[in-house]
Amino acid sequence: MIRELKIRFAGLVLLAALLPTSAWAESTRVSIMLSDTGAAYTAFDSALRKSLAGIAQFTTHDVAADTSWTSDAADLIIAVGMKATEAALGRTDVPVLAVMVPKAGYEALLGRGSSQQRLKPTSAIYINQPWLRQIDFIRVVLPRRSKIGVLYSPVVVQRELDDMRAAATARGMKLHTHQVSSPESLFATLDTLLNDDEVLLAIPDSAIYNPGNMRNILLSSYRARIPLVGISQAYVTAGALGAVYSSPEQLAHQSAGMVRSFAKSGDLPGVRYPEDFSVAVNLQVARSLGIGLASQEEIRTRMIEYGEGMR
Amino acid sequence: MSEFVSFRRRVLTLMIVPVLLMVVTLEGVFLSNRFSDLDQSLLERGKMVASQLAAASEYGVFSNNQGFLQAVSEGALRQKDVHGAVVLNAASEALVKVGDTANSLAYMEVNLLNPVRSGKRSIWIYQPIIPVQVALDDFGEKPLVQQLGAVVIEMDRERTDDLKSRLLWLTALITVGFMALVLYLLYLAGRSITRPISELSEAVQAIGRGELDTRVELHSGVEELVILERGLNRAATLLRQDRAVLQQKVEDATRALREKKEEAERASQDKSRFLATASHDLRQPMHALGLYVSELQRKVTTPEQRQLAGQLEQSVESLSTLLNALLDISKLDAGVVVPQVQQCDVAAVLRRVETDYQMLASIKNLNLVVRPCRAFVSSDPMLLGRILMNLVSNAVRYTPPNGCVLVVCRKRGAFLRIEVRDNGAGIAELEQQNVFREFFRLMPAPSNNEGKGLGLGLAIVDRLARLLDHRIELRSVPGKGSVFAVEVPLLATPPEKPLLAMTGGVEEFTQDETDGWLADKRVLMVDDDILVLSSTSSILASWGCVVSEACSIGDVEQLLREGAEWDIVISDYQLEPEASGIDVVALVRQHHRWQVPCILISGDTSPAILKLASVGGHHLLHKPVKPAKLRSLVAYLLQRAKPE
Repeated sequence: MIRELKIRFAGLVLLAALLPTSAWAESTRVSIMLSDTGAAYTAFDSALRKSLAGIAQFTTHDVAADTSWTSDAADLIIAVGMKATEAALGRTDVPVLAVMVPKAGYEALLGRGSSQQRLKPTSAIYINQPWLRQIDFIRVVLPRRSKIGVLYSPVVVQRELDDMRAAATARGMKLHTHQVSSPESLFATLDTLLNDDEVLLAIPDSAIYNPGNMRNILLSSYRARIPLVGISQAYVTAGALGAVYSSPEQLAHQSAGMVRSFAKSGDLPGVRYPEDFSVAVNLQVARSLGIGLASQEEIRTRMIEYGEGMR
Repeated sequence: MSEFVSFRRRVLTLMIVPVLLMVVTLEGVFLSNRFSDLDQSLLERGKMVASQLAAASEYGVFSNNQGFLQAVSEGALRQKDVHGAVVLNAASEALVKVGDTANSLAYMEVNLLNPVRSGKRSIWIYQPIIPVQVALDDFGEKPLVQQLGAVVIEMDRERTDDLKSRLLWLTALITVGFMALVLYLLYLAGRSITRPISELSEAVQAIGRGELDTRVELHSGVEELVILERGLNRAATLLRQDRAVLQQKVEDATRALREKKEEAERASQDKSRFLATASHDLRQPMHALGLYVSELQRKVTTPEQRQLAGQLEQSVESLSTLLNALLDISKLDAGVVVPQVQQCDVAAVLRRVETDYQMLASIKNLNLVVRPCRAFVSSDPMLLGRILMNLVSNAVRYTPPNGCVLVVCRKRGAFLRIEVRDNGAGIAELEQQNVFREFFRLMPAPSNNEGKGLGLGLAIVDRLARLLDHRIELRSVPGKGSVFAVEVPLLATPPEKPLLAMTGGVEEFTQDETDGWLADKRVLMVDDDILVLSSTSSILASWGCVVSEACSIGDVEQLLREGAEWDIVISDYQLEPEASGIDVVALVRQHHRWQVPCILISGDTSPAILKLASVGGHHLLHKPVKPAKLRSLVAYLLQRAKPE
């Protein structure tokens, strides 16, 4: 219930943000901090500027390139990515909206910060999709598979695992978590998972899902004919069966709403998951694994219908 | 020639050393590059195999699939030169070992920091297994690339070493072959120069030996050599032409010389013939004239007639002396007198001189003293006698009455010096060189007519001394006297038996002493000259002898057949035709069967006749014979034969 309320609240905020606010917006100075000039970040930057054109004044900084940056002249900092967030939180008392950050990472940063930092208005839009949405995706794409396996390293907090299991249970599925205690034991743990479960669901955990391991994880899952569900479009490109993700434009849109809200109230709404999402599938992988798939739009539509239906 | 480096060797050295240096240097660089390439290639292939194996092993190591790794590694082992392979996990534990490396721990010596280790037989190559990076939208920190494991590949050097060794041998072989080819080419090229040069050298030596027909044909393409060849051939041709011209000249000169010589010889023979003829033909009538005058003297009775005959005899005597002197000097000049050098008793010679001139000296009222000398010299006794006689005669002639002529001998080292001294007028120093010239007479001439000389005596002495190689010395002070000295080589050891003097043993007898001895003695007189025959017969008859005359050996035979017998034979030496007095004597002695005494008379004074006569033990008299001398000899021989 609480979650539903939150979503409704978010919808209200969104509505408010969409109202014409030209009279005050000009005075809001927004400083966008990018972790680097990667394609996703710059796409977010330009999409945000476009959404808030004429409403806010923007300056953009590349944290990786410009280390001597100061934010004295900004009303709000939008930190894009973990590095920018870390820099923004550590340096000023200007309100910070972090976007495209993993939930675990953001929470870790906040936990590490000083009391003064905690006092300033801080919020975030996670890169993570809400667990229910992930489960819904599996449910729509692989309706016959109900045993979901998850690998996690010791850095993942127990609460997240509990949330995951809860979400699976809510959709009538079984979710098994397998801890990978060391890099050496990855294969053995993966092997166990692939023997026991029917779907491998990736989570944002760079100790396991990193560029070096990715290929071997994918290879192992193929051999076991267990599909992997990723957390971004890159996973799909690398060989995952499919993924639910939010594009930079979708995130920018959501961020624009938050900025408007901040401009209006002078305060930031609380942290939240991405509201809008996209679906990506790898048809080649699906063919190799003998899985028939609907189109991405259809899957998305079904997910929303299924989600609506389950509510 | 050994200390000189041969031309060919020098050329070879000059050409071969740079080539050798170049070839060896190039080969060295080539080999070094090639070896390094081979090593590099082995290493590169090793690295390639290692990286392939690393890529292939990635999933095997990730999944710890040892069966898979074994298969992949063995696949790598099938690659060329791969000797072994080891796959390590992240903890550097060996997951799989294949090949020879399985038994060794050498793979542990290579790692990420020292990825290559080169051993004697192998190269170990370490290759980390880095997982293929898959791009993900990373929302958190980007983790470091993690090494999944590693592979170690052992590459065997054996094949590379074999290849190197083969390459080395091949290179060496090619080098040797190339050098041999170069040497051969150089030899050919060198020969095209050195052979013509040695041919030229031989040709020059042949020309040096005088073989001027030598020509060189080099067939060489070298310009300088062709020039040399032409030059040498031209020089040889010129030399040959010059030599021919020279030879022609020499032959011409020789021919001219021979003609001159023959001419001279002919002239000499003519002269000799003239002398022989003159001495024979002139002596013959002189001889006869002397005998006639002698007989005439015996037959005249009145003092007036006797004085006339005496003057006639004196004139004949002078004529004879003059003739003898002229003939003597002519013979000496003509060189027909050959000295009979022998062991010679000086005492005998001196005795004869004394005998001959004692009478003359006493007539001139001079004191002639000959000091006896017992010495033997090497000379011709007859010619030495003539020298001394002429000197004494000269001294006697130029010494005034109551003067003294002294003949003495002195030993001077290896020589005997015989001196003829007088205390006469002496000879001025300016004249001393002239006294030996022909017909030279000192002024003033002696007053008395009797001793007047011809001026030939000392000229004859000079010629005889030169002929005998005796030195003549003259010392003289005008107004005090002169000393003529002749130096004769002494004999070291005197002969054992006394020498036979030519005139030795003949005693001089006076006419009175011999008067009775000649009476009724039968004498055979042989001479082919009627005038001489009749004059001699006439004088012998006047001495009381019974004379048989014969003109030839045929007449003698006739007389013998008629039963004639003789006590003595007097014969001319030369009888016509082709017979001699010796033959006559032999015939008579054979017929009478005893050694009939004999006298040979000759107008010829040649040494051959003297020798023949002396061998036969005959007594030889030279024309013109003085009647007194003949009578004395006849008397002596008859007296000696008497005891039979």
